Amino acid sequence: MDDLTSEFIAESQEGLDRMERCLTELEVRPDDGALVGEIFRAVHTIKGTTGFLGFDRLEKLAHTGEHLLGSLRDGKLAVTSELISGLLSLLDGLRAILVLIEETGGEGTRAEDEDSALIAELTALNGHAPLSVDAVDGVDEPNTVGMPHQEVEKANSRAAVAPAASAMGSADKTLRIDVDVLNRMMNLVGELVLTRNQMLQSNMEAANFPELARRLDSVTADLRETVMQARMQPVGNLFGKFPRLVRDLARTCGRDVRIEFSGQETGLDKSLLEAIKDPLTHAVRNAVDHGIEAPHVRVLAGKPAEGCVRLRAFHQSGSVVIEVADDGAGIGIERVLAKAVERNLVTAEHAAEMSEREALQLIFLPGFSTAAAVTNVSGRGVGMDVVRANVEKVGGSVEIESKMGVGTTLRMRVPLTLAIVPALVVRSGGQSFALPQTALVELVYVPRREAEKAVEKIGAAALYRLRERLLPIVWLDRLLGLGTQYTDEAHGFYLAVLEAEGCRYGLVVDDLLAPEEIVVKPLSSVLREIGLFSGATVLGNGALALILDIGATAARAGVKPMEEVAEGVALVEAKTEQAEDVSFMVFEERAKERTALPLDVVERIESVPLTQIEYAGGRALLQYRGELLPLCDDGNLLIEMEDREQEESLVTVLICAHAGTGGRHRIGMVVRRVLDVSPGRMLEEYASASGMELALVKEKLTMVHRQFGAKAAATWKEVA
Amino acid sequence: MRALIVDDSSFIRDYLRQLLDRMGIACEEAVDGSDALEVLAEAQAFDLMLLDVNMPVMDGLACVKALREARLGPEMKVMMVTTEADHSFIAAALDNGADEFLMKPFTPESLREKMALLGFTAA
Repeated sequence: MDDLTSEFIAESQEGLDRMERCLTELEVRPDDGALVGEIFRAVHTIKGTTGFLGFDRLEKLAHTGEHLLGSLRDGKLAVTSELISGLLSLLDGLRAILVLIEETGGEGTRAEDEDSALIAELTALNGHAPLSVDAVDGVDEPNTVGMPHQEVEKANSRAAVAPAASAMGSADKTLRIDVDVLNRMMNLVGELVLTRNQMLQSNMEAANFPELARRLDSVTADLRETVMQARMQPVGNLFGKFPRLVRDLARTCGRDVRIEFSGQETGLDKSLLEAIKDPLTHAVRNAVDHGIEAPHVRVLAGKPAEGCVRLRAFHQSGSVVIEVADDGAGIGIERVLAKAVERNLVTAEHAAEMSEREALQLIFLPGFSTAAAVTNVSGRGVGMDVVRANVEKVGGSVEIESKMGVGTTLRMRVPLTLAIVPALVVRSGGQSFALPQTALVELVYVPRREAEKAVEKIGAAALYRLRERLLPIVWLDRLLGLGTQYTDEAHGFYLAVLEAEGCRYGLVVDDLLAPEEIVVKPLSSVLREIGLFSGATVLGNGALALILDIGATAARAGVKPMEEVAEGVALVEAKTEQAEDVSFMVFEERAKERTALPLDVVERIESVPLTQIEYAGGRALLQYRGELLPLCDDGNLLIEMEDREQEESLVTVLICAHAGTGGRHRIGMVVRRVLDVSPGRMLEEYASASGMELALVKEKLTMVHRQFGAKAAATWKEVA
Repeated sequence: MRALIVDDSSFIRDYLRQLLDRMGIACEEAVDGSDALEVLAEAQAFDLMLLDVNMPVMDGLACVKALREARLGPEMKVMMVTTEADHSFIAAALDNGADEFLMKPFTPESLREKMALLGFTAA
């Protein structure tokens, strides 16, 4: 009986899905007899089969529904919105019981109290019908609940048919496949077996071997295609749930909304369909709740009172695009920007410079909510950031377009399937890794002679200036602790520019191998715990490769979401034009890190033998023209040199005038080497945001020594 | 002995098939009236047709009318499988050439009894 029960549940759920679609259509075309017939049949089938399985509660409800629908079918009732609402409640009631059966194997015990209200409602709806004098109908008219002969029959059926044990399968775990597709699959498997047999009889040297390999290739490709096709479900399956949602929402929000579809037949992998269900639902909710205006507002704006939400699905360059468009008020850019500034997501300066498109994408940032007032409809804690995260989790992307007064379009782009993804295979630390192509923006080769200059360091972060934008860079081998093999600034390296979850960064790898279509295999729990990989795959050459989770890698490496980085860069660039020129002395304190001091604080540059430097109380001191200068050695150069016992070497010390609280002091700064003296600009805005002072000297980012920043210099000038 | 099960519900088809299997009766299935007519038009001979009433495309009443008019399977007995909501159709179906009817939900015994009425006894 288990198989039968799960068969029953799957069939009933399908029937109810059809019923739901028909109900919303029925509201538009109340005279369509075919729709009524379809709805009647869904309930009728449940009623007809449930008796076999002994689900009394379900039967009772279905029976009442069937009766009401019978009156409707026979023209004794007219379609009213109360009737539709009643039937929708019936639908919900039936679904709830089915879910219960599916999960527990039984239909629950609180049946009577829960259903009696609904049954009474349905009976009342039926009662409004002019009573018919149809003799044949008289038998079970009009009381529908608990008729004695029925009880007897039910008892019989229960005795004969063993009560359903727990139902295992479910509608979500079963998949209906076109028989043609299944036949094609079988044929291809036959081909595969034939080819294998021929290959077994052949050998590598045989003349027909290349021919066989080609055939194997084409059969495998066809088979893959067909299996993928079998997994494809029309997007319409998902769309089917929305008319109801929109109808109910529109009622709650006092809107007048119609929903339109196109491209329902567009196929999408079943698992992907599941994955975009929630984001799509949220988008539709948003469209009705925040997008469409109240009817009187629409009329005032010269639009029809009824708003329209359009769902559109179509293929575009190997992915499926799903759009949710409304003809509502549109998103007010000013409000978005104001909110983003208020929430500290961007600075006011940056906001002022944003294009409309850029500004709109802000609503995807975590911590942003467009709802001016939190309504019970969309203010459910699922913000647009979650929509974006969910879509990106399956390798998709999401963007939004909006025109004030005209409407808003949310566009989701998802790959066709998850099982096979195009990826770029790279090598790092002697291992192969796969980078999903969807996250790959571009590839950059940094040749050896440029490698050293290309990477700029700001504090702990390494940045690469790619077409005037600063790109955080991450060394894959260092991140994974693989031990550097070839990757070093001193050699040329490859930079894979990746974008995911709002982060954009360059991943430094040793080598690029071929792009491949990889088959994604799930990871064992041990590997999954590392949290940096989304799967594993076997490459064409038989080697294993882990698939890098681009978003998780960014998070692990401490790469901040793009907007923040962009913000920093925008500030840097914005300030370039405004700030006054100051002369800087540029030097290296730590290797490869450019540090600068305003030139007017540096009095002299001295070369001092290491032996002249004395120590007291853990501090390095230098006797200089009768004054005892504390030495500032942020780069730990002195220790490094002492360690190497280079007693004869000379230390470069900058003699600086320092304005402290007690008046004017001098100190010595130990530096690796002095690089340059040139004009540059202080980036004061950035200083207040990060606590770090930056200057742009000869168009290169340079950190200003914190003890000698512009402020210190200014104070000193005053004292002097 | 061969039977043709006509029902749009795969649950009912599976259930009937299981019951008939146990009686040693070979079964074919069709999902609606017109599908059943196609199966019959392929000149397949059946002894018994178990015909649902409410089906999409072509319902049981139209089906029994059509097959009797076209004299498809003239020897075949037609048993309408129905629920009480369809009972207004039963009289019409019996008038149009159906031989017996069976009310859902039915037990294996009630199926066997009705079959015995048509002269089929379990093997």
